[in-house]
Amino acid sequence: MKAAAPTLVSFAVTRECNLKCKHCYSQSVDSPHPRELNTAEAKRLIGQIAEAGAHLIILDGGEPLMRPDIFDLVRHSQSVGLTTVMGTNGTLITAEVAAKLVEAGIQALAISLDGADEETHDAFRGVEGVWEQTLRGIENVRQAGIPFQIAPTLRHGRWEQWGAIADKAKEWGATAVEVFDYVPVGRGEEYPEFEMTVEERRAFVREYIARQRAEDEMVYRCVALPQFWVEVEKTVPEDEVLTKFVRSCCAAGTRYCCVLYEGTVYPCMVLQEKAGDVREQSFVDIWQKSEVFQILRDRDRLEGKCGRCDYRYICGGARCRVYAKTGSLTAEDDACWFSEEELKR
Amino acid sequence: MKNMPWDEDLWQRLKDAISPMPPFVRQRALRTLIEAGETFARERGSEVVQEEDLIKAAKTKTPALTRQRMLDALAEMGIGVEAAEETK
Ligand code: SF4
Repeated sequence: MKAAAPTLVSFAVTRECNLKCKHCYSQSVDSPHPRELNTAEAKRLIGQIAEAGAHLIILDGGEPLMRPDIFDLVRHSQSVGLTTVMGTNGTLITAEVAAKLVEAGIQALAISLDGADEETHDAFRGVEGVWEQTLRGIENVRQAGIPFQIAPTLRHGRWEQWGAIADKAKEWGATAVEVFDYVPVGRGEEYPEFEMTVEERRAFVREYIARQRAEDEMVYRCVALPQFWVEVEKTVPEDEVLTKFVRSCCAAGTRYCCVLYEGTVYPCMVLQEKAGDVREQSFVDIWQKSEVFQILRDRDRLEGKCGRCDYRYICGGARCRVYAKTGSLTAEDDACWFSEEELKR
Repeated sequence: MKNMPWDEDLWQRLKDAISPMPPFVRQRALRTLIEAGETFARERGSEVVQEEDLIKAAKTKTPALTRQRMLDALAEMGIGVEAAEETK
């Protein structure tokens, strides 16, 4: 299947991080990877991402602000025409750092916040006092006038906090809330108990829809929970779907992919099946020709319930979770709550 | 939003194609596409908007800044794949 250009690519510029989050998909630690792409290699990669036709690049990590040349990379990615955003834990954003980000041309930030209170956030992020630092970072971002979104991770037993986080995000002036369903990959493999049940997911999706319907300014997106779109289509009037709701997954290998600090290309940060290595092949070649991407793009290859489903091209199941559990890119998503009857469009 | 009938499958695929776009980009783009697609259909004497009308609208009426993105999004849903390639 011919590849359309990627809409967005995330580049985890470093594995180095000042936190020790339990769910870290990139296994970040307190030092850079020995084979981390150097500045010249990182710039070449960014150029190739633009050449592939991507519109947007997300610089994340690890904590991208740990990388000494990060402002240079932001500047470079701007210069090749990419809308440049950054995913950060927010703790290192002083007023000075925020000013440097503005000067380098950053267009938006996504700041992780995994609880509506200090205790929950700090416990999940693995370091005491992070809540305070994150809030200070958010305030500095706001003062500098950088558009930002808040990115919480949903997990078993605590998912209901997302509403309070979204309230705070609005109060702080965020433009969006991007919610991640917990996927046990990377360091997260050690904590399968954080995964939500199907019932919790369904309850979240209903709350999420009600919230977006009542909201005209804030945009909600959710990642690793593609079934939400089927629920949107089934329950929301068409005019509202068209004007308010954003279908944000699953884009792994179809509109999105991710490149790690040492050059490995994955379909998604949480779908870690190697599609290529930018030290061996150009990003453009990998995007267009990788067998892994070809499989993900052809939803007619899906199996079981997903293969029979009329929504397979807009949902397709959470490929990340299916892969983490079965090692297959095409097996059915057993977390899907719809009956076969409901899967006729 | 629609003022005349659209081929049902085409309308569904258009909705699927634009659904990942940010609402502020999408709302304007969609309005433009719908208006232009319907005008082109009428001009050819058709009572229903078909794929050729939508492709023409996307190629000629989408603002330059978002045109390729729109054509790529439509192509992903199997609409005017050649048109998306031609403009690259
Ligand atoms: S069967 Fe698969 S493709 Fe269909 S809605 Fe469920 S998870 Fe999505």
